[in-house]
Amino acid sequence: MSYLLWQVVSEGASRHPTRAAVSWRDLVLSYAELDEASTRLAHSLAQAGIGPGARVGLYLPKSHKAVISMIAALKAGAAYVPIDPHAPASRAAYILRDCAVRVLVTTPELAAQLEPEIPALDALQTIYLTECSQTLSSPDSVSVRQWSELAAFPATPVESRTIESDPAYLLYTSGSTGRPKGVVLTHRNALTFVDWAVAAFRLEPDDRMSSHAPLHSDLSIFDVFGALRAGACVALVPEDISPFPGTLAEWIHRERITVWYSVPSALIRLSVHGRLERWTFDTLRAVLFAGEVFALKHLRQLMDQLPHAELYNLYGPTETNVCTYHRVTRPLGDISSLSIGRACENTEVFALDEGGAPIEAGQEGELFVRGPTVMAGYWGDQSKTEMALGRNPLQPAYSELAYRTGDIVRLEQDGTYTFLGRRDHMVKSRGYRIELGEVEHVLHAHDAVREAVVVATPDDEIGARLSAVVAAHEATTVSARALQAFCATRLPRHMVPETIVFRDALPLTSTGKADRIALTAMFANSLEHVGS
Amino acid sequence: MTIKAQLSTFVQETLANGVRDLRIDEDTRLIEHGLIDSIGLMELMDFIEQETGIRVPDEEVHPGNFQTVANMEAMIERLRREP
Repeated sequence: MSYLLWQVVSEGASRHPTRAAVSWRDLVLSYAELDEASTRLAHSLAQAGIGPGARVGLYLPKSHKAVISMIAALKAGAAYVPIDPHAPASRAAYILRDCAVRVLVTTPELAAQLEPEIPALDALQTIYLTECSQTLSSPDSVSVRQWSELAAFPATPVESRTIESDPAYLLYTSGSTGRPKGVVLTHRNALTFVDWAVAAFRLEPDDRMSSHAPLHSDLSIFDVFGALRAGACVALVPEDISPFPGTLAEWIHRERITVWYSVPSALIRLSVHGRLERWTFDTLRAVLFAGEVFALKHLRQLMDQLPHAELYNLYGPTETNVCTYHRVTRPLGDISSLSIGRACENTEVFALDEGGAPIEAGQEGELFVRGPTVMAGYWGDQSKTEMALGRNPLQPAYSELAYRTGDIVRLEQDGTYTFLGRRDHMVKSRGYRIELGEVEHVLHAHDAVREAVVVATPDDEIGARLSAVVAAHEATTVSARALQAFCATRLPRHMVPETIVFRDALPLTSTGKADRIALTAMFANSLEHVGS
Repeated sequence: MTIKAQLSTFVQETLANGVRDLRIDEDTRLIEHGLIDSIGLMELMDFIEQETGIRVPDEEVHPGNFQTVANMEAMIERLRREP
């Protein structure tokens, strides 16, 4: 019996073909329609040379076509690689090159953005445009196909030669050495999490689940595949509504969403600016959040606004899917931080102290995860993979891998965990992982920059705000605005420092490294006095 | 510089930075071009407040008021008249 992610669609199509699977704007795709469209595209992909061991890039805004493309890539035996459509073309090109994407699905507008980079994408052979366009000029080695051609391909099942330990998708996250890294997740990784989620949150065919997180975020796996596994409908939040809290709140009400999942910062914007008092949201039975710490004052307010919804705090790096969860109790009580709870079924977490010994209740240590949801590795980076995915130190009898999260936690008396912080320079802003080193790497690439340190200041609404301290080369002049613009052509917007200040030299620690603690304190104490 | 010109420059330099061949005028459909995500919207609202002293109230924060520079200008003018 195979255990493959696309089967959630084909099984749904045979059991309940007419039920709604995907809703986007005024369009509703049934399970049968989703199955058929993704099968036709899979045949077309197969004709374009896509099969097991290949990657299909998805560089497009969220829509029913994006979901069809995800399923089609999987049916063809490939892994899909979702790329932030708001990311600069240079970053998209890096990802496409890094994992040697052969086929790219994109829009004419984004293809035009990417055009100057295309000649350097050696592996790229075919571009599918989701809308008709004649304007793309691509090298002879790249063929361009239109979505409208898909109707000519058969709707008969594609022969599958994939096994459950093959990659299903690659999610790129910020990398400390200046480049994003591709987390490789298999069919088994995803389905183990999806099956747990369907049971844990009692997802049912009547559910209408929101898809708010972008497809390049691991939250989307719950939204899309959780809904499809349960026979439910996933309602994609249109990207033009998503930034507007009041309009988004109206959408949740109008779409009769039953299960919502997002990063806390999106919920906080809804709570603070969404004017939620206009509706009762009586269909909304569960609100899930993950990706960053939820500031308690905002959580309390949200709980008051949604008195009948169950709230869950989900925890887990992209590398492990969700690995612990906690149902928020009402009332919240006198707590200082929200628990990340205990391990999901079929997953184990444990924490070790600095000497590598398991911690006892009340102690702090680094969290490790083992089980079938843990990633296969980082694409094309054996050394990073080995650093993160080491031999489980608690299993000396045979070789078993455990993922080292880098997250410091405290084990509570009741066996639950509390997240305390990171052991490195990774921060979370708006739910996105940001390696400060990646931002510094980009700043250093600017000719005028001699030294640069990026620091994160905690923020109740978005998790963290980035600021940079820069020492410029003598006899050069560069403005903060110009440096921000430079960053914006190389980094997604959430990674561009909001504030950049200049110093003649950076404060150093006794070992000669930039003194991050002093610089962080400088911003925390005097952000309002520092011009940007 | 008028607020319209200031907004066009801000959108061009900050939100449309890196978008090839896109020249922002007052009727460019900013949301359809994918220029306004949640970070971009916050930056725009901060810019409007900094330049005009007007904090856009929550009920005015909807796509109709931010689709184009002309829409934003109309909103600002209206908020100026009826504070």
